[in-house]
Amino acid sequence: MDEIKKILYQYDRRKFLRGSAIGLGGIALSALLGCENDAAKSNKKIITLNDVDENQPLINPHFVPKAKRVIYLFQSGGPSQMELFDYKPKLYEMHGQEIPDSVIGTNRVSGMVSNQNSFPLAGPAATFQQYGKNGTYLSDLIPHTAGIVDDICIVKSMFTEQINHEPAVIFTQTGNQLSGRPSIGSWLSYGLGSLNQNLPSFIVLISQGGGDQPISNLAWSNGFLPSHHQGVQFMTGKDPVLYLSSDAGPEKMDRRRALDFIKEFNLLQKDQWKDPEIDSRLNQYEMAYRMQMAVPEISDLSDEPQHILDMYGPDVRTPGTYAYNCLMARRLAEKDVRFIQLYHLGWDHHGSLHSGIRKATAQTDQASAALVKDLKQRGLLDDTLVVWGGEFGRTSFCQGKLTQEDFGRDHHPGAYSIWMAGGGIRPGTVYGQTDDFAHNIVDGKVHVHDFQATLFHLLGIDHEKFTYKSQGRRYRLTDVAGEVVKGIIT
Amino acid sequence: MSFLGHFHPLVVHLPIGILMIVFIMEILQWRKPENNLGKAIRLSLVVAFITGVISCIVGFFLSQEGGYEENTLLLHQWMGISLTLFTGISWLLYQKNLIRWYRAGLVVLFLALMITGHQGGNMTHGDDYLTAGLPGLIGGEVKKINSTPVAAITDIQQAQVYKQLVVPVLANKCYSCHSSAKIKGALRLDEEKHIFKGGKHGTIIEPGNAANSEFIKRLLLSREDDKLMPPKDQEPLTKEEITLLTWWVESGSNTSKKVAELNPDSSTLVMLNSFVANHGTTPAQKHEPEALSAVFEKTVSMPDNESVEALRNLSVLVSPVAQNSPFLMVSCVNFKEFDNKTAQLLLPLKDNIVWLQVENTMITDDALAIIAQMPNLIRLNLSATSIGTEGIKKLQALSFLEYININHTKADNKTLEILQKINSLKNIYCWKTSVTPEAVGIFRTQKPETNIIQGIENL
Repeated sequence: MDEIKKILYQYDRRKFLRGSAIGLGGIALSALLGCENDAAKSNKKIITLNDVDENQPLINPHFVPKAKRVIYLFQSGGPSQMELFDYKPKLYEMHGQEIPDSVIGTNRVSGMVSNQNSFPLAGPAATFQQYGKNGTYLSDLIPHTAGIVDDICIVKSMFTEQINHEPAVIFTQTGNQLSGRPSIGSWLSYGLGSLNQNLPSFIVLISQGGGDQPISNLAWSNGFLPSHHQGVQFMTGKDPVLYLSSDAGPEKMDRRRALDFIKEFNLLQKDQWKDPEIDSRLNQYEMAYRMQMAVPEISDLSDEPQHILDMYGPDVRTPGTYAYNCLMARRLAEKDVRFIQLYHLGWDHHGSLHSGIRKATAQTDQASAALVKDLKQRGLLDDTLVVWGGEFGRTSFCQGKLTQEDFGRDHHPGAYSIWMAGGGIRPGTVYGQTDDFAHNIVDGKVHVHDFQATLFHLLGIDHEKFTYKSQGRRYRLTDVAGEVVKGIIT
Repeated sequence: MSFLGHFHPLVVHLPIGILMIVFIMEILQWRKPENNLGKAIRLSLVVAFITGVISCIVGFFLSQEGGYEENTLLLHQWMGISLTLFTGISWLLYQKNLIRWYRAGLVVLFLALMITGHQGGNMTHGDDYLTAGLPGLIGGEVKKINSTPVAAITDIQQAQVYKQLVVPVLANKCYSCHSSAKIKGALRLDEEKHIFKGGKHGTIIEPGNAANSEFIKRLLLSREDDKLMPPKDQEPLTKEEITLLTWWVESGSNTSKKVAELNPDSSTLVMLNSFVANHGTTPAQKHEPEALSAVFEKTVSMPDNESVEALRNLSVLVSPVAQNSPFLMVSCVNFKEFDNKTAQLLLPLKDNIVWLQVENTMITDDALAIIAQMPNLIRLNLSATSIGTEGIKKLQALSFLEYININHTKADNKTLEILQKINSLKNIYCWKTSVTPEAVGIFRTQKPETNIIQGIENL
């Protein structure tokens, strides 16, 4: 028996038995109580044949949203908070001294340093200055971000449970350390749908030339949601979406007719097999058709004036760079794409942190800031949430050999910094506080699930009410945790 | 069902009273058979049985409501049911003329009735309700809840952990069921010795080990769990209150030390400070409420479906801003051909539209006459259209408009003067227009509370 038939038979037997049991019970009960009509009047369903019925997209947010779309600038690898946002002067003083036992406590260290018998502190490989109206200390490695400090909210008190890249990335993106759950963008695509039917509501852009730490497509997976909600990855180069261009292909009308014909077949199939994935397939065909118009327009940068390109930095002309992707993100935001996910690799500085972090900031600082400024001048920042952050932070003690010139830092899940802007975020603020070693959080802890709950809140979604039932259990992005961080919301 | 349940304390007195009369009549009959009370006794037994059954049923409903100590409840329930059955059996024995068996049974019945009744009373009024009025006689202790006002905390480090922090939480959230007035589960939390003695299931606090202390565990159960404390219909403990109690147990549940003596770490101190600052309120309330336009408090009828569909057919995006909300967001991002004529289609929805995106469309100043009729408009994006001052003039009556985007339009300094009159405006975008930086400067000095953004050069 082939797979599909198996599913089909199983479906029928189980659903029939359950349906008839509940159904008969329900009929008997309503007859007993003499209230056949009440069942119809009230919203309570007595007879439920299919629990897929329970899975209904929200369509509209639970409450009035602050943000309509999200640009998530994911900095994969674990950017060091001590070299960027979390100014810790004591670390310069204590360079080379052991991190106090009282600080490190029983915190977990990764397998990469667990055989080190010494944990000397390493003074930050950057200098700091005060910026903005509130005199926020920021690293000289990120002068452009420093220039937008009054528009962003820096959260210094993020923490996660994960200490290795893959599970930590998956955790940040899907709310669970193991792969298989939908990522944030998929939840939103499924829950709120598209604001522009000609483009996917969840688009992924990965920058080239960052680092060697890979990123797996499980991070933008649809999990158990219908598969047309997975992130659509735009490729590098002239053709962001493969096989879309039809220069020498059939006429548009012929294409339409062919698609309509295929659709009929698919609908027949669906009638027979009841496989919801056929819907996804239909959906993807239609999306591809509509994207044939919309995508070339998006990826044609010829209408961008010079001063805008300059703002994003010299890399912007090279497709696939972070700067190019930031510009693309703005263009997609202008077209009301719901969730634009960027990934930049190259923040994993176990050694040679000095040169490594300078390379990463050179690639990302200017364009990240330019994106916020560009959105702001276009009036898009009000309802676009921009998130800049990675999967964890780095240790204040050194990994490997500590020399005056160079050292490395290991993964640190206990405290890290991210920033957010626009879309209902309180601008020009700093939230949370770490100890003198940027190792433990002393105020305003924000767990990954709290961050996710806040993100949903800004989009008008109550993260506790937005569920999807799969394999007999209702799932949430935030699993069973998460509290909205009210302190960073306007 | 819970409505019926509340009749239990009332109905239950019927079988009790009737059975008492049966006992009295039976004694009279026994003493003086010629009293001829047989018929009355028989009738009374039947009525006692029927009312007993009713009491059991409503009692069962009452028990479903929760809030009673489980074991006591179970015992009371089965005693009650047995009593009722016994009443029925007594009647049968009487019918069969097995008088001696019947009388022996009646004695047992009488004792069981006393016990069950007493149990029920204790469950309703509290264990020491009966004895509270007899100081020293039966051992019932009379003690009012310690109501001495707690000194205000000025320095958190000097605060008495137990007296000034823990006790107020207990008094607020626990005393109503666990103090001298009402002792559910045989647990009292109104005095140290009772707290450490525990309840029906033994001690509830293991000093230094919160994870193993029933006192803490019960606070952390899910909302659906019957064992959750306080029960689900009562006001729950705040997160900070739970953290405080956990820290207190974890640090040895000392009743005389000050905060400083327990060496709280910095995150505990932050928690304690915010606990003191928020005492009696939930932490969320300490933040300013989220900014939301007053429009959303208005009552507006739901949008007309046909008008919505007419727009959607043109691939104009129309969607409610939130579930069940009459307010709409309208966007022409997919319909660049939107013009003054198609703008007419917005009119039937004029009260509903709060966010309107018509950027990059063909509209001109004439369309603004239509937009001006939308009293609830909050956000308006007109960028990259050929509108100008003449059109903007029409918008002056919009009293909720917070956001206007006139980037890349024919707007000029005059436009800005008009916008200055719209007091509700929070954000104005006038990049790529003829608006001069000087005019923006003047605007900023006159209306500093409005953000005016004119491109990066001027950010």
